[in-house]
Amino acid sequence: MKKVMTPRERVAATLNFEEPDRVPICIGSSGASVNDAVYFQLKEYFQIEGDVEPFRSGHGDNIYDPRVFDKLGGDFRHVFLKSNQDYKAATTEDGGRINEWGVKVIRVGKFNEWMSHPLQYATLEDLDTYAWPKPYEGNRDRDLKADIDYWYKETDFAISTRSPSRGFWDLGIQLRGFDQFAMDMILNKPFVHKMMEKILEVLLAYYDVLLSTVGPYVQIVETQDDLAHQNAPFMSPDAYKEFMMPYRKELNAFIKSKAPQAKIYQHCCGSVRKLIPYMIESGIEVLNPIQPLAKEMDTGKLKRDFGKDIVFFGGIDLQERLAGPPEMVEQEVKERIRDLAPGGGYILSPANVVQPDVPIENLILLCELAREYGQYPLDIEKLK
Amino acid sequence: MINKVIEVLSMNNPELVKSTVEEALEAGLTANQIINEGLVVGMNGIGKRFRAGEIFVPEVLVSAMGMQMALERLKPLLKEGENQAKGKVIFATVQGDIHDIGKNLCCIMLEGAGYDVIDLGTDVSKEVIANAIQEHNPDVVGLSALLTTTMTEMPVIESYLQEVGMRGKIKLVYGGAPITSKWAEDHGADGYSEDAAECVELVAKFVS
Repeated sequence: MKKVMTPRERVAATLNFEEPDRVPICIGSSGASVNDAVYFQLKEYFQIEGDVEPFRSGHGDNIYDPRVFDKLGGDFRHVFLKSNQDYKAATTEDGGRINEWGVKVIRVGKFNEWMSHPLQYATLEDLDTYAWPKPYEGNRDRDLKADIDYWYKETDFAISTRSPSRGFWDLGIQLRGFDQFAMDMILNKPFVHKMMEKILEVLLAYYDVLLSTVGPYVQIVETQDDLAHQNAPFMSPDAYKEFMMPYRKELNAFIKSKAPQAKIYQHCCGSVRKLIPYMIESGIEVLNPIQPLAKEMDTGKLKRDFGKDIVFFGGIDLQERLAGPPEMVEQEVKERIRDLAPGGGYILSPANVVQPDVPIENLILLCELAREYGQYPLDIEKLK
Repeated sequence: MINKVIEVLSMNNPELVKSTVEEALEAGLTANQIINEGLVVGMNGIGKRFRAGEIFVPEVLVSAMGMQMALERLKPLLKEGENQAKGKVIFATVQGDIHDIGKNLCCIMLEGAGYDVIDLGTDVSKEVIANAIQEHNPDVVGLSALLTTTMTEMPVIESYLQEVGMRGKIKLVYGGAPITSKWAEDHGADGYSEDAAECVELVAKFVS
Protein backbone atom coordinates (compact mmCIF):
# COMPACT_ATOMS: atom_id res chain seq x y z
CA MET A 1 0.00 0.00 0.00
CA LYS A 2 1.34 3.42 -0.86
CA LYS A 3 2.18 5.90 1.83
CA VAL A 4 -0.30 8.74 2.34
CA MET A 5 1.62 11.97 2.39
CA THR A 6 0.87 14.98 4.53
CA PRO A 7 -0.32 18.01 2.56
CA ARG A 8 3.06 19.67 3.14
CA GLU A 9 4.98 16.66 1.82
CA ARG A 10 2.59 16.37 -1.11
CA VAL A 11 3.12 19.96 -2.17
CA ALA A 12 6.89 19.78 -1.57
CA ALA A 13 7.15 16.78 -3.88
CA THR A 14 5.08 18.34 -6.63
CA LEU A 15 7.03 21.61 -6.44
CA ASN A 16 10.18 19.52 -6.98
CA PHE A 17 8.69 17.87 -10.06
CA GLU A 18 8.25 14.53 -8.31
CA GLU A 19 5.01 12.58 -8.20
CA PRO A 20 3.44 12.74 -4.73
CA ASP A 21 0.68 10.37 -3.53
CA ARG A 22 -1.95 12.49 -5.27
CA VAL A 23 -2.32 15.82 -7.05
CA PRO A 24 -2.46 18.61 -4.42
CA ILE A 25 -5.61 20.74 -4.34
CA CYS A 26 -5.77 24.42 -3.50
CA ILE A 27 -8.71 26.61 -2.61
CA GLY A 28 -7.95 30.02 -1.16
CA SER A 29 -4.89 31.31 -3.00
CA SER A 30 -4.87 34.81 -4.54
CA GLY A 31 -5.81 33.30 -7.88
CA ALA A 32 -8.13 30.52 -6.68
CA SER A 33 -10.25 31.79 -3.87
CA VAL A 34 -14.02 32.11 -3.75
CA ASN A 35 -16.12 35.23 -4.19
CA ASP A 36 -17.76 36.34 -0.92
CA ALA A 37 -21.22 35.32 -2.20
CA VAL A 38 -19.92 31.81 -2.92
CA TYR A 39 -18.24 31.69 0.48
CA PHE A 40 -21.53 32.37 2.28
CA GLN A 41 -23.31 29.68 0.26
CA LEU A 42 -20.59 27.17 1.18
CA LYS A 43 -20.69 28.19 4.81
CA GLU A 44 -24.40 27.61 4.95
CA TYR A 45 -24.15 24.33 3.05
CA PHE A 46 -21.55 22.96 5.45
CA GLN A 47 -23.50 24.38 8.41
CA ILE A 48 -20.53 26.29 9.75
CA GLU A 49 -21.43 28.56 12.64
CA GLY A 50 -19.82 31.88 13.56
CA ASP A 51 -18.44 34.62 11.34
CA VAL A 52 -14.87 35.33 10.33
CA GLU A 53 -13.74 38.93 10.08
CA PRO A 54 -12.93 39.91 6.45
CA PHE A 55 -9.18 40.44 6.10
CA ARG A 56 -9.70 43.23 3.59
CA SER A 57 -12.45 45.09 1.78
CA GLY A 58 -13.06 46.35 -1.71
CA HIS A 59 -12.32 43.07 -3.49
CA GLY A 60 -14.48 40.20 -4.76
CA ASP A 61 -13.03 37.81 -2.20
CA ASN A 62 -12.46 39.38 1.20
CA ILE A 63 -12.89 36.42 3.56
CA TYR A 64 -10.40 33.67 4.32
CA ASP A 65 -12.05 30.91 6.33
CA PRO A 66 -10.06 27.65 6.55
CA ARG A 67 -13.08 25.85 8.03
CA VAL A 68 -14.82 26.10 4.67
CA PHE A 69 -11.72 25.26 2.61
CA ASP A 70 -11.08 22.18 4.77
CA LYS A 71 -14.57 20.89 4.05
CA LEU A 72 -13.68 21.10 0.37
CA GLY A 73 -10.44 19.25 1.05
CA GLY A 74 -7.72 21.76 0.22
CA ASP A 75 -4.09 21.04 1.05
CA PHE A 76 -3.13 24.64 1.85
CA ARG A 77 -3.07 27.31 4.48
CA HIS A 78 -2.38 30.88 3.38
CA VAL A 79 -0.75 33.65 5.31
CA PHE A 80 -1.22 37.23 4.25
CA LEU A 81 -1.10 40.88 5.14
CA LYS A 82 -4.28 42.51 6.35
CA SER A 83 -5.55 45.90 5.33
CA ASN A 84 -3.99 49.08 6.75
CA GLN A 85 -5.84 49.54 10.04
CA ASP A 86 -5.20 53.30 10.07
CA TYR A 87 -6.41 53.97 6.55
CA LYS A 88 -9.69 55.82 6.33
CA ALA A 89 -10.91 55.56 2.76
CA ALA A 90 -12.41 58.77 1.42
CA THR A 91 -15.79 58.19 -0.19
CA THR A 92 -17.17 59.87 -3.26
CA GLU A 93 -20.68 61.08 -4.11
CA ASP A 94 -21.20 58.30 -6.64
CA GLY A 95 -20.69 55.65 -3.99
CA GLY A 96 -17.01 55.04 -4.65
CA ARG A 97 -14.16 54.78 -2.19
CA ILE A 98 -10.58 55.82 -2.74
CA ASN A 99 -8.14 52.98 -2.09
CA GLU A 100 -4.60 53.34 -0.77
CA TRP A 101 -3.19 53.74 -4.26
CA GLY A 102 -5.50 56.72 -4.80
CA VAL A 103 -7.77 54.84 -7.22
CA LYS A 104 -11.53 55.18 -6.94
CA VAL A 105 -13.24 51.80 -6.52
CA ILE A 106 -16.96 51.37 -7.15
CA ARG A 107 -19.15 48.33 -6.74
CA VAL A 108 -20.77 47.43 -10.06
CA GLY A 109 -23.05 44.40 -9.91
CA LYS A 110 -21.17 41.77 -7.93
CA PHE A 111 -17.72 43.20 -8.54
CA ASN A 112 -15.56 46.09 -7.48
CA GLU A 113 -14.17 48.07 -10.35
CA TRP A 114 -11.45 50.75 -10.66
CA MET A 115 -13.13 53.88 -11.87
CA SER A 116 -10.54 56.63 -11.80
CA HIS A 117 -6.95 56.89 -12.90
CA PRO A 118 -5.20 59.44 -10.68
CA LEU A 119 -2.00 59.56 -12.75
CA GLN A 120 -3.71 59.81 -16.14
CA TYR A 121 -2.38 63.30 -16.80
CA ALA A 122 0.70 63.09 -14.59
CA THR A 123 4.19 64.18 -15.60
CA LEU A 124 7.47 62.51 -14.68
CA GLU A 125 7.90 64.96 -11.80
CA ASP A 126 4.44 64.17 -10.44
CA LEU A 127 5.58 60.61 -9.79
CA ASP A 128 8.03 61.90 -7.16
CA THR A 129 5.38 63.73 -5.19
CA TYR A 130 2.53 61.24 -5.55
CA ALA A 131 1.14 59.79 -2.30
CA TRP A 132 2.24 56.17 -2.76
CA PRO A 133 1.02 53.55 -0.27
CA LYS A 134 3.18 53.07 2.83
CA PRO A 135 3.34 49.33 3.49
CA TYR A 136 5.31 49.71 6.74
CA GLU A 137 2.44 51.65 8.27
CA GLY A 138 -0.96 50.41 9.38
CA ASN A 139 -0.01 47.27 11.31
CA ARG A 140 -0.67 45.05 8.29
CA ASP A 141 1.18 42.12 9.77
CA ARG A 142 -1.11 41.85 12.78
CA ASP A 143 -1.77 38.20 13.71
CA LEU A 144 0.76 37.07 11.12
CA LYS A 145 3.31 35.73 13.63
CA ALA A 146 0.67 33.79 15.54
CA ASP A 147 -0.79 32.38 12.31
CA ILE A 148 2.49 31.19 10.87
CA ASP A 149 3.67 29.75 14.20
CA TYR A 150 0.50 27.75 14.49
CA TRP A 151 0.17 26.55 10.90
CA TYR A 152 3.86 25.71 10.58
CA LYS A 153 4.43 24.00 13.91
CA GLU A 154 1.07 22.57 14.84
CA THR A 155 -0.29 21.41 11.47
CA ASP A 156 1.06 19.66 8.40
CA PHE A 157 -0.70 21.85 5.82
CA ALA A 158 1.27 23.22 2.92
CA ILE A 159 1.79 26.93 3.53
CA SER A 160 1.72 29.69 0.98
CA THR A 161 1.50 33.44 1.22
CA ARG A 162 -1.20 35.27 -0.62
CA SER A 163 -0.15 38.17 -2.78
CA PRO A 164 -0.03 41.41 -0.78
CA SER A 165 -0.62 43.60 -3.82
CA ARG A 166 -1.39 43.63 -7.48
CA GLY A 167 1.52 43.77 -9.89
CA PHE A 168 3.33 46.18 -12.19
CA TRP A 169 1.03 46.16 -15.21
CA ASP A 170 -2.14 45.93 -13.08
CA LEU A 171 -1.14 48.97 -11.08
CA GLY A 172 0.11 50.79 -14.17
CA ILE A 173 -3.28 50.57 -15.86
CA GLN A 174 -5.17 51.38 -12.67
CA LEU A 175 -3.13 54.49 -11.98
CA ARG A 176 -2.63 55.70 -15.52
CA GLY A 177 -5.68 54.30 -17.33
CA PHE A 178 -5.51 51.36 -19.71
CA ASP A 179 -5.25 53.21 -23.02
CA GLN A 180 -2.79 55.79 -21.76
CA PHE A 181 -0.51 53.27 -20.07
CA ALA A 182 -0.52 51.00 -23.11
CA MET A 183 0.34 53.91 -25.41
CA ASP A 184 3.00 55.15 -22.97
CA MET A 185 4.90 51.95 -23.76
CA ILE A 186 5.44 53.36 -27.24
CA LEU A 187 5.14 57.13 -26.87
CA ASN A 188 6.38 57.86 -23.35
CA LYS A 189 8.91 55.23 -22.33
CA PRO A 190 10.68 57.23 -19.59
CA PHE A 191 7.35 57.63 -17.81
CA VAL A 192 6.70 53.88 -17.84
CA HIS A 193 10.15 53.14 -16.45
CA LYS A 194 9.85 55.68 -13.68
CA MET A 195 6.39 54.45 -12.78
CA MET A 196 7.64 50.87 -12.63
CA GLU A 197 10.49 51.98 -10.35
CA LYS A 198 8.03 53.66 -8.01
CA ILE A 199 5.72 50.65 -7.99
CA LEU A 200 8.70 48.36 -7.36
CA GLU A 201 9.62 50.39 -4.27
CA VAL A 202 6.14 49.88 -2.85
CA LEU A 203 6.03 46.17 -3.73
CA LEU A 204 9.43 45.56 -2.13
CA ALA A 205 8.14 47.14 1.07
CA TYR A 206 5.00 44.98 1.03
CA TYR A 207 7.04 41.81 0.63
CA ASP A 208 9.51 42.99 3.28
CA VAL A 209 6.69 43.33 5.82
CA LEU A 210 5.17 39.99 4.84
CA LEU A 211 8.30 37.88 4.50
CA SER A 212 10.19 39.29 7.49
CA THR A 213 7.74 37.26 9.56
CA VAL A 214 6.84 34.28 7.38
CA GLY A 215 9.70 34.05 4.87
CA PRO A 216 11.50 30.98 6.24
CA TYR A 217 8.33 28.90 6.69
CA VAL A 218 6.39 29.09 3.43
CA GLN A 219 6.59 26.81 0.40
CA ILE A 220 5.14 29.32 -2.06
CA VAL A 221 5.23 33.11 -2.23
CA GLU A 222 2.42 34.47 -4.39
CA THR A 223 2.62 37.46 -6.69
CA GLN A 224 0.19 38.64 -9.32
CA ASP A 225 0.07 40.63 -12.52
CA ASP A 226 -2.59 40.10 -15.19
CA LEU A 227 -0.57 40.55 -18.36
CA ALA A 228 -2.87 38.90 -20.88
CA HIS A 229 -6.39 38.89 -22.28
CA GLN A 230 -8.32 35.99 -23.78
CA ASN A 231 -6.42 35.95 -27.07
CA ALA A 232 -2.94 37.28 -26.39
CA PRO A 233 -0.70 39.11 -23.93
CA PHE A 234 -1.59 42.79 -23.66
CA MET A 235 1.94 43.69 -24.69
CA SER A 236 4.52 42.17 -27.00
CA PRO A 237 7.23 39.93 -25.57
CA ASP A 238 9.70 42.71 -26.43
CA ALA A 239 7.67 45.23 -24.41
CA TYR A 240 7.49 42.77 -21.52
CA LYS A 241 11.26 42.42 -21.61
CA GLU A 242 11.77 46.17 -21.80
CA PHE A 243 9.25 47.43 -19.25
CA MET A 244 8.33 44.63 -16.89
CA MET A 245 11.16 42.14 -16.68
CA PRO A 246 13.87 44.33 -15.11
CA TYR A 247 11.57 45.26 -12.20
CA ARG A 248 10.11 41.77 -11.95
CA LYS A 249 13.64 40.35 -11.65
CA GLU A 250 14.43 42.71 -8.79
CA LEU A 251 11.23 41.80 -6.99
CA ASN A 252 11.83 38.08 -7.44
CA ALA A 253 15.44 38.37 -6.23
CA PHE A 254 14.23 40.17 -3.13
CA ILE A 255 11.59 37.52 -2.43
CA LYS A 256 14.24 34.82 -2.78
CA SER A 257 16.51 36.65 -0.36
CA LYS A 258 13.74 36.60 2.26
CA ALA A 259 12.39 33.11 1.51
CA PRO A 260 15.14 31.12 -0.22
CA GLN A 261 13.35 27.79 0.11
CA ALA A 262 10.07 29.04 -1.35
CA LYS A 263 8.94 28.94 -4.97
CA ILE A 264 7.72 32.17 -6.54
CA TYR A 265 4.20 32.02 -7.93
CA GLN A 266 2.70 34.46 -10.38
CA HIS A 267 -0.99 34.78 -11.09
CA CYS A 268 -1.59 35.93 -14.64
CA CYS A 269 -4.90 35.32 -16.40
CA GLY A 270 -5.47 34.83 -20.09
CA SER A 271 -3.35 33.85 -23.05
CA VAL A 272 0.10 34.31 -21.55
CA ARG A 273 1.99 31.61 -23.43
CA LYS A 274 4.08 34.05 -25.47
CA LEU A 275 5.47 35.53 -22.24
CA ILE A 276 6.10 32.31 -20.32
CA PRO A 277 9.76 31.91 -21.40
CA TYR A 278 10.52 35.41 -20.10
CA MET A 279 8.55 34.93 -16.92
CA ILE A 280 10.66 31.84 -16.27
CA GLU A 281 13.80 33.87 -17.05
CA SER A 282 12.69 36.51 -14.54
CA GLY A 283 12.47 33.89 -11.80
CA ILE A 284 8.84 32.77 -11.80
CA GLU A 285 8.61 29.11 -10.77
CA VAL A 286 4.87 28.54 -10.40
CA LEU A 287 2.35 29.80 -12.94
CA ASN A 288 -1.31 30.40 -12.11
CA PRO A 289 -4.12 30.15 -13.20
CA ILE A 290 -3.62 28.37 -16.61
CA GLN A 291 -6.89 29.44 -18.22
CA PRO A 292 -7.52 26.54 -20.60
CA LEU A 293 -9.97 28.26 -22.97
CA ALA A 294 -7.69 31.22 -23.60
CA LYS A 295 -5.84 31.15 -26.89
CA GLU A 296 -2.58 29.15 -26.99
CA MET A 297 -3.24 27.74 -23.51
CA ASP A 298 -3.63 24.11 -24.52
CA THR A 299 -2.55 22.37 -21.33
CA GLY A 300 -0.94 19.40 -23.05
CA LYS A 301 1.28 21.67 -25.12
CA LEU A 302 2.13 23.88 -22.15
CA LYS A 303 3.23 20.85 -20.13
CA ARG A 304 5.33 19.56 -23.02
CA ASP A 305 7.00 22.89 -23.70
CA PHE A 306 7.46 24.34 -20.20
CA GLY A 307 6.69 21.49 -17.77
CA LYS A 308 10.32 20.99 -16.78
CA ASP A 309 10.79 24.62 -15.82
CA ILE A 310 7.55 25.76 -14.24
CA VAL A 311 4.91 24.29 -11.95
CA PHE A 312 1.34 24.68 -13.21
CA PHE A 313 -1.20 25.80 -10.64
CA GLY A 314 -4.90 26.00 -11.50
CA GLY A 315 -6.20 24.79 -14.83
CA ILE A 316 -9.85 24.09 -14.05
CA ASP A 317 -11.93 26.09 -16.51
CA LEU A 318 -14.40 28.56 -15.03
CA GLN A 319 -15.55 30.08 -18.31
CA GLU A 320 -17.69 27.10 -19.31
CA ARG A 321 -17.07 23.85 -17.57
CA LEU A 322 -17.18 24.50 -13.82
CA ALA A 323 -20.52 26.25 -14.32
CA GLY A 324 -21.78 23.39 -16.50
CA PRO A 325 -23.41 20.02 -15.80
CA PRO A 326 -21.58 17.49 -13.55
CA GLU A 327 -20.29 15.39 -16.44
CA MET A 328 -18.59 18.49 -17.82
CA VAL A 329 -16.88 19.05 -14.45
CA GLU A 330 -15.70 15.43 -14.51
CA GLN A 331 -14.36 15.74 -18.05
CA GLU A 332 -12.50 18.90 -17.06
CA VAL A 333 -10.85 17.28 -14.05
CA LYS A 334 -9.76 14.29 -16.12
CA GLU A 335 -8.32 16.37 -18.94
CA ARG A 336 -6.33 18.71 -16.73
CA ILE A 337 -4.89 15.90 -14.61
CA ARG A 338 -4.04 13.90 -17.72
CA ASP A 339 -2.29 16.87 -19.33
CA LEU A 340 -0.62 18.56 -16.38
CA ALA A 341 -0.05 16.03 -13.59
CA PRO A 342 2.40 13.49 -15.10
CA GLY A 343 5.76 13.77 -13.33
CA GLY A 344 4.42 16.10 -10.62
CA GLY A 345 4.56 19.85 -11.10
CA TYR A 346 0.79 20.36 -10.94
CA ILE A 347 -1.41 21.82 -8.22
CA LEU A 348 -5.09 21.64 -9.09
CA SER A 349 -7.44 24.57 -8.48
CA PRO A 350 -10.15 26.54 -10.25
CA ALA A 351 -8.57 28.83 -12.84
CA ASN A 352 -9.57 31.95 -10.93
CA VAL A 353 -11.64 33.20 -8.03
CA VAL A 354 -14.86 31.15 -8.14
CA GLN A 355 -17.79 33.38 -9.09
CA PRO A 356 -21.47 33.08 -8.16
CA ASP A 357 -22.40 31.51 -11.51
CA VAL A 358 -20.71 28.31 -10.36
CA PRO A 359 -23.10 26.11 -8.34
CA ILE A 360 -21.38 25.20 -5.07
CA GLU A 361 -22.29 21.56 -5.73
CA ASN A 362 -19.93 21.72 -8.72
CA LEU A 363 -17.12 23.08 -6.58
CA ILE A 364 -17.62 20.29 -4.06
CA LEU A 365 -17.76 17.74 -6.87
CA LEU A 366 -14.59 19.19 -8.38
CA CYS A 367 -12.63 18.58 -5.19
CA GLU A 368 -14.01 15.04 -4.79
CA LEU A 369 -13.14 14.13 -8.36
CA ALA A 370 -9.70 15.70 -8.06
CA ARG A 371 -8.95 13.39 -5.13
CA GLU A 372 -10.26 10.40 -7.06
CA TYR A 373 -8.57 10.98 -10.40
CA GLY A 374 -5.47 12.63 -8.98
CA GLN A 375 -4.06 9.47 -7.36
CA TYR A 376 -0.50 8.62 -8.41
CA PRO A 377 0.53 6.60 -10.26
CA LEU A 378 -1.94 8.14 -12.68
CA ASP A 379 -4.35 5.78 -14.37
CA ILE A 380 -4.12 7.26 -17.86
CA GLU A 381 -6.83 4.93 -19.22
CA LYS A 382 -9.28 6.22 -16.63
CA LEU A 383 -8.38 9.81 -17.52
CA LYS A 384 -9.31 9.50 -21.20
CA MET B 1 2.39 58.26 -52.16
CA ILE B 2 -0.73 56.37 -51.12
CA ASN B 3 1.45 53.41 -50.11
CA LYS B 4 3.36 55.71 -47.82
CA VAL B 5 0.09 56.66 -46.10
CA ILE B 6 -0.80 52.99 -45.68
CA GLU B 7 2.60 52.12 -44.24
CA VAL B 8 3.00 55.08 -41.92
CA LEU B 9 0.05 53.98 -39.77
CA SER B 10 2.02 51.01 -38.53
CA MET B 11 5.13 52.98 -37.63
CA ASN B 12 4.09 53.78 -34.05
CA ASN B 13 4.38 57.51 -34.68
CA PRO B 14 1.16 59.58 -34.86
CA GLU B 15 3.05 62.78 -35.68
CA LEU B 16 4.55 61.11 -38.73
CA VAL B 17 1.05 60.09 -39.85
CA LYS B 18 0.03 63.73 -39.65
CA SER B 19 2.98 65.00 -41.68
CA THR B 20 2.56 62.23 -44.24
CA VAL B 21 -1.06 63.26 -44.71
CA GLU B 22 0.12 66.84 -45.37
CA GLU B 23 2.60 65.55 -47.91
CA ALA B 24 -0.11 63.53 -49.61
CA LEU B 25 -2.36 66.60 -49.83
CA GLU B 26 0.48 68.65 -51.28
CA ALA B 27 1.13 65.90 -53.80
CA GLY B 28 -2.42 66.41 -55.03
CA LEU B 29 -4.27 63.47 -53.50
CA THR B 30 -7.81 64.24 -52.36
CA ALA B 31 -8.94 63.79 -48.76
CA ASN B 32 -11.31 61.09 -49.93
CA GLN B 33 -8.46 59.16 -51.60
CA ILE B 34 -6.20 59.51 -48.58
CA ILE B 35 -8.90 58.17 -46.27
CA ASN B 36 -10.32 55.35 -48.34
CA GLU B 37 -7.31 54.20 -50.32
CA GLY B 38 -4.76 54.97 -47.60
CA LEU B 39 -5.86 55.12 -44.00
CA VAL B 40 -8.71 52.60 -44.14
CA VAL B 41 -6.50 50.12 -45.97
CA GLY B 42 -3.76 50.73 -43.41
CA MET B 43 -6.08 50.16 -40.44
CA ASN B 44 -7.37 46.95 -41.99
CA GLY B 45 -3.80 45.75 -42.17
CA ILE B 46 -3.26 46.70 -38.53
CA GLY B 47 -6.39 44.71 -37.61
CA LYS B 48 -5.17 41.65 -39.45
CA ARG B 49 -1.76 41.77 -37.82
CA PHE B 50 -3.36 42.20 -34.39
CA ARG B 51 -5.53 39.17 -35.00
CA ALA B 52 -2.57 37.13 -36.16
CA GLY B 53 -0.76 37.96 -32.91
CA GLU B 54 2.01 39.91 -34.66
CA ILE B 55 1.23 43.19 -32.91
CA PHE B 56 -0.40 43.96 -29.56
CA VAL B 57 -2.79 46.40 -27.92
CA PRO B 58 -0.30 49.31 -27.53
CA GLU B 59 0.54 49.25 -31.26
CA VAL B 60 -3.16 49.19 -32.22
CA LEU B 61 -3.98 52.11 -29.91
CA VAL B 62 -1.11 54.21 -31.23
CA SER B 63 -2.09 53.46 -34.85
CA ALA B 64 -5.66 54.42 -34.05
CA MET B 65 -4.44 57.67 -32.51
CA GLY B 66 -2.60 58.46 -35.77
CA MET B 67 -5.72 57.58 -37.72
CA GLN B 68 -7.88 59.88 -35.61
CA MET B 69 -5.45 62.78 -35.95
CA ALA B 70 -5.44 62.28 -39.72
CA LEU B 71 -9.24 62.13 -39.87
CA GLU B 72 -9.55 65.38 -37.93
CA ARG B 73 -7.43 67.06 -40.59
CA LEU B 74 -9.11 65.41 -43.57
CA LYS B 75 -12.81 65.29 -42.76
CA PRO B 76 -13.40 69.05 -43.23
CA LEU B 77 -11.85 68.73 -46.70
CA LEU B 78 -14.29 66.09 -47.92
CA LYS B 79 -16.64 67.18 -50.67
CA GLU B 80 -20.37 66.96 -50.25
CA GLY B 81 -21.49 63.37 -50.63
CA GLU B 82 -18.05 61.99 -49.80
CA ASN B 83 -18.63 62.20 -46.10
CA GLN B 84 -21.07 59.31 -46.15
CA ALA B 85 -20.35 56.71 -43.52
CA LYS B 86 -20.46 53.10 -44.68
CA GLY B 87 -23.02 52.32 -42.02
CA LYS B 88 -23.99 53.05 -38.46
CA VAL B 89 -23.11 50.91 -35.45
CA ILE B 90 -24.09 51.24 -31.79
CA PHE B 91 -21.87 49.68 -29.15
CA ALA B 92 -22.43 49.00 -25.45
CA THR B 93 -21.02 46.98 -22.58
CA VAL B 94 -24.03 45.38 -20.92
CA GLN B 95 -25.50 46.30 -17.55
CA GLY B 96 -23.49 45.20 -14.52
CA ASP B 97 -20.23 45.19 -16.45
CA ILE B 98 -17.82 48.10 -16.88
CA HIS B 99 -15.12 46.36 -18.90
CA ASP B 100 -14.54 48.14 -22.16
CA ILE B 101 -11.11 47.43 -23.59
CA GLY B 102 -12.40 45.06 -26.26
CA LYS B 103 -15.42 47.21 -27.00
CA ASN B 104 -13.25 50.32 -27.34
CA LEU B 105 -10.95 48.53 -29.77
CA CYS B 106 -13.99 47.54 -31.85
CA CYS B 107 -15.19 51.16 -31.91
CA ILE B 108 -11.77 52.46 -32.93
CA MET B 109 -11.33 49.88 -35.68
CA LEU B 110 -14.82 50.44 -37.05
CA GLU B 111 -14.38 54.19 -37.08
CA GLY B 112 -11.10 53.68 -38.83
CA ALA B 113 -12.86 51.50 -41.37
CA GLY B 114 -15.29 54.30 -42.16
CA TYR B 115 -18.35 53.55 -40.04
CA ASP B 116 -20.34 55.95 -37.95
CA VAL B 117 -19.95 54.60 -34.40
CA ILE B 118 -22.06 55.49 -31.38
CA ASP B 119 -20.46 54.25 -28.19
CA LEU B 120 -22.95 54.07 -25.32
CA GLY B 121 -20.20 53.20 -22.85
CA THR B 122 -20.35 50.61 -20.07
CA ASP B 123 -22.98 49.28 -17.66
CA VAL B 124 -25.72 50.12 -20.18
CA SER B 125 -29.33 49.08 -19.56
CA LYS B 126 -31.59 47.51 -22.18
CA GLU B 127 -33.81 50.61 -22.09
CA VAL B 128 -30.90 52.90 -22.95
CA ILE B 129 -29.97 50.62 -25.84
CA ALA B 130 -33.56 50.63 -27.13
CA ASN B 131 -33.73 54.43 -26.90
CA ALA B 132 -30.45 54.74 -28.77
CA ILE B 133 -31.74 52.48 -31.55
CA GLN B 134 -34.84 54.66 -31.78
CA GLU B 135 -32.76 57.80 -31.97
CA HIS B 136 -29.92 56.72 -34.26
CA ASN B 137 -31.44 54.02 -36.41
CA PRO B 138 -28.24 51.91 -36.65
CA ASP B 139 -27.53 48.96 -38.93
CA VAL B 140 -25.77 46.95 -36.27
CA VAL B 141 -25.80 46.84 -32.45
CA GLY B 142 -22.77 45.34 -30.74
CA LEU B 143 -22.97 44.07 -27.16
CA SER B 144 -19.92 43.36 -25.06
CA ALA B 145 -19.33 41.60 -21.72
CA LEU B 146 -16.25 40.35 -19.93
CA LEU B 147 -17.91 38.41 -17.15
CA THR B 148 -19.67 35.07 -17.19
CA THR B 149 -22.14 36.65 -14.76
CA THR B 150 -23.01 39.55 -17.07
CA MET B 151 -22.96 37.85 -20.47
CA THR B 152 -26.41 36.50 -19.54
CA GLU B 153 -27.68 40.06 -19.94
CA MET B 154 -27.24 39.74 -23.72
CA PRO B 155 -30.21 37.41 -24.37
CA VAL B 156 -32.23 39.57 -21.95
CA ILE B 157 -31.53 42.58 -24.16
CA GLU B 158 -32.32 40.52 -27.24
CA SER B 159 -35.76 39.52 -26.03
CA TYR B 160 -36.44 43.06 -24.80
CA LEU B 161 -35.71 44.38 -28.29
CA GLN B 162 -38.15 41.82 -29.66
CA GLU B 163 -40.73 42.90 -27.12
CA VAL B 164 -40.47 46.56 -28.12
CA GLY B 165 -40.47 45.67 -31.81
CA MET B 166 -36.92 46.75 -32.63
CA ARG B 167 -35.15 43.45 -33.05
CA GLY B 168 -36.01 43.15 -36.75
CA LYS B 169 -34.55 46.57 -37.57
CA ILE B 170 -30.99 45.76 -36.58
CA LYS B 171 -28.36 43.06 -36.69
CA LEU B 172 -27.25 42.11 -33.19
CA VAL B 173 -23.66 41.00 -32.55
CA TYR B 174 -22.04 39.73 -29.34
CA GLY B 175 -18.44 39.80 -28.24
CA GLY B 176 -16.28 39.45 -25.12
CA ALA B 177 -13.87 37.02 -23.51
CA PRO B 178 -16.32 34.41 -22.12
CA ILE B 179 -18.51 34.31 -25.22
CA THR B 180 -18.19 31.69 -27.90
CA SER B 181 -19.67 31.60 -31.38
CA LYS B 182 -21.98 28.75 -30.36
CA TRP B 183 -23.20 30.52 -27.23
CA ALA B 184 -23.94 33.69 -29.21
CA GLU B 185 -25.84 31.72 -31.82
CA ASP B 186 -27.85 29.86 -29.16
CA HIS B 187 -28.71 33.10 -27.38
CA GLY B 188 -30.19 35.20 -30.11
CA ALA B 189 -27.23 36.90 -31.80
CA ASP B 190 -26.99 37.40 -35.54
CA GLY B 191 -23.24 37.23 -35.28
CA TYR B 192 -20.23 36.91 -33.02
CA SER B 193 -16.71 38.18 -33.34
CA GLU B 194 -13.70 37.02 -31.47
CA ASP B 195 -11.80 40.28 -31.69
CA ALA B 196 -11.92 43.80 -33.07
CA ALA B 197 -10.57 42.91 -36.50
CA GLU B 198 -13.15 40.17 -36.96
CA CYS B 199 -15.79 42.61 -35.76
CA VAL B 200 -15.03 44.92 -38.69
CA GLU B 201 -15.43 42.02 -41.12
CA LEU B 202 -18.67 40.98 -39.47
CA VAL B 203 -20.16 44.47 -39.61
CA ALA B 204 -19.09 44.82 -43.24
CA LYS B 205 -20.95 41.61 -44.02
CA PHE B 206 -24.13 42.89 -42.40
CA VAL B 207 -24.04 46.38 -43.87
CA SER B 208 -23.22 45.51 -47.48
